[in-house]
Amino acid sequence: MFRWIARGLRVGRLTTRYPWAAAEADALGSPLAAIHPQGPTRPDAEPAEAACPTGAIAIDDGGVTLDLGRCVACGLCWAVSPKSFVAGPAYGAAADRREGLLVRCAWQARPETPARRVRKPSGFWRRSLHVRHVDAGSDGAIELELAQLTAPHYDLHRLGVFFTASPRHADALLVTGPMTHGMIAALRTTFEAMPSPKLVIAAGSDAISGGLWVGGEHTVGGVDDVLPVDVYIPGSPPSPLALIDGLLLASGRRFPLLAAATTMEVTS
Amino acid sequence: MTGRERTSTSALVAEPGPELERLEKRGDRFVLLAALDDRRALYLSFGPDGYTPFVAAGPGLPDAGARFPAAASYQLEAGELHGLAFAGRKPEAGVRGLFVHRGGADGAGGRLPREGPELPLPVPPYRGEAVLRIPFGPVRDATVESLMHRFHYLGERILSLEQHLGYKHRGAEDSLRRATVATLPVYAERVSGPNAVAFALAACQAVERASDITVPPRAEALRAILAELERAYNHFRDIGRIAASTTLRVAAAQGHALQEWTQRIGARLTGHRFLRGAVAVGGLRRDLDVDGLADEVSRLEADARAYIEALEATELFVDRLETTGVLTPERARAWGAVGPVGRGSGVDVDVRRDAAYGAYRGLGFDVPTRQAGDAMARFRVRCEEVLTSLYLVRELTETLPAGAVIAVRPSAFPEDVLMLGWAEGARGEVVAALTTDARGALARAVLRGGSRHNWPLFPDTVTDTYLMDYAINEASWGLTVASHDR
Repeated sequence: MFRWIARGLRVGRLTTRYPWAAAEADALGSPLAAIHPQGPTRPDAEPAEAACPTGAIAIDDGGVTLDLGRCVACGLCWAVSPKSFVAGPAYGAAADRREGLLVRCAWQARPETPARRVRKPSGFWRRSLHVRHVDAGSDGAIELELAQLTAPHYDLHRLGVFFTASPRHADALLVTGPMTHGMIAALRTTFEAMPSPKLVIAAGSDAISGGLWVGGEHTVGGVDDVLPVDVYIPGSPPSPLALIDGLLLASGRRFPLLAAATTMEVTS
Repeated sequence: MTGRERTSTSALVAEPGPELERLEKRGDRFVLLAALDDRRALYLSFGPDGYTPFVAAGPGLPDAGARFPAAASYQLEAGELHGLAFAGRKPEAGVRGLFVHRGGADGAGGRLPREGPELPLPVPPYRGEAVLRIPFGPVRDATVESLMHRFHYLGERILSLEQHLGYKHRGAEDSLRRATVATLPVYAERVSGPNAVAFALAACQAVERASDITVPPRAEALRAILAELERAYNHFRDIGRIAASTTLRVAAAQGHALQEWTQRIGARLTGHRFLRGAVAVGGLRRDLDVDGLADEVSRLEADARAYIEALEATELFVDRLETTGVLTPERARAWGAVGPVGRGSGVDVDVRRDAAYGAYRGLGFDVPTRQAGDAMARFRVRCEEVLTSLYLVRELTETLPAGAVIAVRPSAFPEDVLMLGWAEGARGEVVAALTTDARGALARAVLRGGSRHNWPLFPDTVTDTYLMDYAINEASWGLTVASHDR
């Protein structure tokens, strides 16, 4: 046992400064698409609309609309249309309504960041939020990110957020995956077992829009067809930082840097 | 099928009975069986000439489970998802539970209903007040994937475990048919999230092999670097989970910290924490900057070595793993178990060496195996592999050739062919079998990961063991549900 205590001391503190300060550059990764800060142009943006596998990019005469809820972070848009799209922030995109994930930008104008709303300050969950996670058909990656939240680098417990096994103890239901038909009954049962008031968080673009797994007969294509969703966390999968950002938004806590977006550089 | 070949599925039609007999006599390892449509099945085995596919048309397909036990669960899947019928015994007799939502009332097959009926759990096999039942799932612990394990137990002793998978079936292979040459890796990377590189490599190499595309040497080396980083973070995660299952909190936290370190290295290379968006048909989407990679990986390697030594020296940990969850070498071999699970039971299979591809053709490395088949054997195999992977990353970085990372960007798939590709993922062999129609669109896309092949083996290692060992056993298998259910 002494060996482990000694090792623990030697490793020292690994935990991110976020959300008390901007996250370390090391921790950034898995960015969603964003509109180029110089403003998109139509001839440049058109290949991206064609290349996007989920139809997250829509172009019309007025400008371009980017739906982060459909973006699966594949990076094809910023590869084919580098003057209109870039790798976006690694966290800070969570929203409390579906329209909050739509980024609209006129041609050659600077993109506007959608106004970030802090949920009504009920104060109810600000000190402690207990989360029940249900996997409704994810690709398995987001479960690794969720597991990291309780590990040393992210240590969610310091923020008063805990994963709980029993839905009876849960304030929030965090759903991942494109809502497969096989999981509908189990998800409803879990939701009904939770005491009110309760929150539903759709984590990952699959849970928001179905991602790539739509159009078939096996998925609903998004959780909000089955349960009322309170917070949307886009990403494929959302990084641990993005998940913390969404959980803080759900709990109604305010942090000075909550809205600060940090963009990573992707080697090109 | 190890060379560059272009074969139509119609040229591969064989009489299934004699062909299966021939392959069994030759000592082939069974790889997969998949419905191509509601009439034809694709069989794939691995023999002395490499991968050997053949196609058989129904009705009246024989029960391949008689010769290759692993085939039974694939027949069940083909029946449930494509309505393909196989002769002989009902698959349920050999394999317990697979896809929960059965089409027909008798489970005979057909497409899945929109919102399935209540879970058709079989009648409990035991009666009596002393026999207790736990329906564990499909919603299980926090941060794990959905599946159902139903236990019957007496005191501490587990009498039986029924395994029900398929809750997560999202029709990934159906959606994959929409993929183009450009989006094929995007789809493949998201079939099984933590195995993104292995799945993308299998799919892209299938197309490259069928289209006679040469991947530049720099791209091959960078692909291998990404694949080894992927193996490393998955193994760290699994080792951390095994430590957590023995209630070693500090060791579990440090396993997760090593995983995070490895994923951050990957994120700096590719931009993505799961190394997505780098692999493309023909090579890589863009060049990667490996400055400082070798140095950082050697620091990681030293830390990992110390961590593994500390675990091996913790008696509490070793005691819980030894003789826990034994998969016998006989059963593993008959099944063709893959990945660390197979190698922990003496099945010496690693397609990086057996059917070498890309940069692995010129690399020497050891493939660790153990004979014990217990949780300790699977743990030790992972420990040796993770150190080998980090060594390979350094080796590949130091000898990285210069040059382009993509030479040919094909615009379409070849027409009317079966394309086969493979890669060794962290959980075993990943196989891609893609067929195209006369217009060059994907007609069927099968992506089979190691977890898909190994899951049906798991329940028997739980039956007749103790409740306290279940969590350790499951963690030591380290399988993903997503790549089973697809």
